[in-house]
Amino acid sequence: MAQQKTYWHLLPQKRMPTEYEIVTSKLLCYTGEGFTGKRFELDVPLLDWYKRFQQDSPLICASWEKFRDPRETTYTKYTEIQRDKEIFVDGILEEIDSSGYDGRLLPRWLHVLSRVFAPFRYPGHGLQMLAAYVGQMAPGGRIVIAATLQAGDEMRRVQRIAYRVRQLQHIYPGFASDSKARWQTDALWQPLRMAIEKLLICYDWAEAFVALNLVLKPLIDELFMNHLSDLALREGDYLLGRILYSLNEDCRWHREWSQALTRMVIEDSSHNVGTLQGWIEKWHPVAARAAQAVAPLFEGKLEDAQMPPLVGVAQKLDKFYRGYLSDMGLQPSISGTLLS
Amino acid sequence: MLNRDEWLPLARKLDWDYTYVREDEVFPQVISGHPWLPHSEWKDWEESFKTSYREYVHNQYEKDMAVYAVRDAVGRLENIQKLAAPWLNSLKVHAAALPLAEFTGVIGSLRGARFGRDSAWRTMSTFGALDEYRHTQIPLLLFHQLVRWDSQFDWAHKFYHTNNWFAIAARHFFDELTLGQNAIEFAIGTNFVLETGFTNLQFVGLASLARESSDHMFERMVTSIQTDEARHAQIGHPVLEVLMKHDPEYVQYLLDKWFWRSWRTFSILTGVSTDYLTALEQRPYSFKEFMEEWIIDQYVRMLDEFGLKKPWYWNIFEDELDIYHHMIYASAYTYRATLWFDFVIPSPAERKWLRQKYPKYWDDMDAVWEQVIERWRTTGPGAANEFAVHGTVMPTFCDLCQLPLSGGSPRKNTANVLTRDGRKYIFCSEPCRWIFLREPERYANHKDLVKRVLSGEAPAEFTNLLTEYFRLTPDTWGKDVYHGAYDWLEAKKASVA
Repeated sequence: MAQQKTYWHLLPQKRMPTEYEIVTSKLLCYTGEGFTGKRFELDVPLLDWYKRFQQDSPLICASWEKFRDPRETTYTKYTEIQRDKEIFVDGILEEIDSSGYDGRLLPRWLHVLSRVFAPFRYPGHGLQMLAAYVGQMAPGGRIVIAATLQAGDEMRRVQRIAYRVRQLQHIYPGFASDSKARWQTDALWQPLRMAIEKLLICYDWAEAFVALNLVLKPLIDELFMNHLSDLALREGDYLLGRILYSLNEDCRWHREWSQALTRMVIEDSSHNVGTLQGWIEKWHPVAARAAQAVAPLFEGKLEDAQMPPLVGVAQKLDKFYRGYLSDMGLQPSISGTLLS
Repeated sequence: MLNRDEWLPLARKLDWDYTYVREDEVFPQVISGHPWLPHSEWKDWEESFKTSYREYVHNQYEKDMAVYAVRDAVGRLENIQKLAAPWLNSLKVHAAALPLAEFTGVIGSLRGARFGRDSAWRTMSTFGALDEYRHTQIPLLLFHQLVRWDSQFDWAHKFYHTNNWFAIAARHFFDELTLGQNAIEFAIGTNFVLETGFTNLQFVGLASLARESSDHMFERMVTSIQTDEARHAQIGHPVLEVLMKHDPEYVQYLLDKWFWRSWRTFSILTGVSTDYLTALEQRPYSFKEFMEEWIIDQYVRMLDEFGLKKPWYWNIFEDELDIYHHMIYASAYTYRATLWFDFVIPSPAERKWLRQKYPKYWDDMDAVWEQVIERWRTTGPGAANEFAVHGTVMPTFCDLCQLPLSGGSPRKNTANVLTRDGRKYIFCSEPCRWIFLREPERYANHKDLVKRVLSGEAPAEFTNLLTEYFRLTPDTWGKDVYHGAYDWLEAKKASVA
């Protein structure tokens, strides 16, 4: 008998598996990928939860195992990539401390930072919770992994903002100490808070994935990681832009794996297009309102700030989002476009 | 760089008051756990590690590099091939039990990362989920290289995907503990009881056995994993503190239940490795001694610390320390073809050692081995005689732990029956029966192997059961490592002749 060269489930590939395949394939046993059928071994407390929000989800796929993270992120690779990014950010933060950088920031920009940048820790934590939900309910091991790493990335973003806030507090005592109150009451944040709270109770796993990774995150990440960075550069805070650039690399990967998953389900069944499009119709207006509420910042209308407007942010965001969806054969909601 | 304690608090306490939805919709009791309390009761939740993401990715990358460096130095196939045969089979047991169970730990940790009741808890659980991904990956990668040499190592991935009887029992345990569990019971059952109470057994006990057996690869792997466990296990304490203020009776129940269920699991995984599958001269202690030194004292201290009592079944548990894993090993030897690793008969010197370590019941166990040996004497050694020294009648399984009825001793079995809603159930022990009766809605519908055979779901014919249902092959099913050809067994036969 020929000697077996790899694990049982990788034999049909008829080639040596990659490291990514070895450590990420068929890791869930209750989803019917092995010999046991689709079942938990007993009537677990969440039996009904899994049935309603995973098995009965309208998004279908013959095998969720077909999903592949385009970056093929093993744990080792993840820690290596993220360690390098953190070393890069550490360098910037050290430069800020050693060069007296914060003492030179403009007062109007400090106001923007305390109102728009510092409170982002709260929605950032909400996004971390949401990724953790998609991960625990995803019906395929590789999707679980991608969403878990995304939750880790969201934690990274929250912690880097926290670090930056503390640096500023050293120079400006009391800086942004009202972040929680801003998040809870400032008109600029309420539509985003509504979007995140509503999303937190959206329990169909696939709808949660779509609302988070195909709708809310692309818009919010692009606005806060990219356009805020442009604004910072113009206001003389060029180092913030570099930090946001590094954090945005994480967001870019979140969009890439989400596109890979979306393309896979569309390829698997054309019925899924309608399901995906329906959820985009539902969530895009909610997310667009959240983005629109921050618009005064970019239009030079933020009170006390009196900054010149950054031209065309809404159009750029619309175009960016339209491009993101059309790459997957999907469209934004008409009522969600920021120009309407 | 700023000291972590200066800035991390700004990233750890991020709960807010929901106004567009209700708090009990964001944290439904069914998935966040009992008792349901408003966030004001959880806001002081704190643990001592307070890791930052930045430190995490630095440290974890270094730790992975260290593990792979050890693999490259001493963990290659040629190194593994030099290990003693019994130890290799211990390795196969753990190779199968570990990686995909760790992946259910990813899910359980993500549950805490979403439904944990304070942001500091959720953040710690997010690290926990990342850790468990690591613990899935390392063994899958390390054992993969061994598959081409010995296809029993295929079970590092295959085990939980089969209906092997032990896989049924293991899934029955982990599906409830981690996969299908709410955030609070996960924190108590996994983070507190299993990871704080029992993990020493795997990661200190097993690591020292591996070291003694010259298996430096496995030793490094388990100690490296232990450093992660020690961190995220901290989630359990502060959760327990809050629960104690509101429902101490429920806390006592959860601890007693998960201590018993964990005991069942580890007495097999670690007990068998310690007292049978490690060469005699490499056993630093008996399983019972290790339990007493590393598990029991510490666990009882933890209970004291919280004003909790020892489980009501403590006398039963202490009695089992002397016998349960011996009963399971002898039973498994008798049915070794139903498992994916090979077995050894304890030698006369080992039996002498076991008698010293387990004076209370060893004579009874020794008689069982005497029968097995007598059988080999009759048939003579050889692979062809494996099934002549093998059980033929299907054993009965406990309706709670799903393990063969091995409670009590060869003289006095502790199995007990229950009739409920017209259906008969059997349990290996009083604690298993007690757990069943506390939450029968979880357990009552489960079909054990015997019922599956009777209903036609599993084949009744033994070889078909092994191949079609347990997914074993003549290559992979368990055998006697020496096919009965032991020096001491032959020698005695010769002297008799």
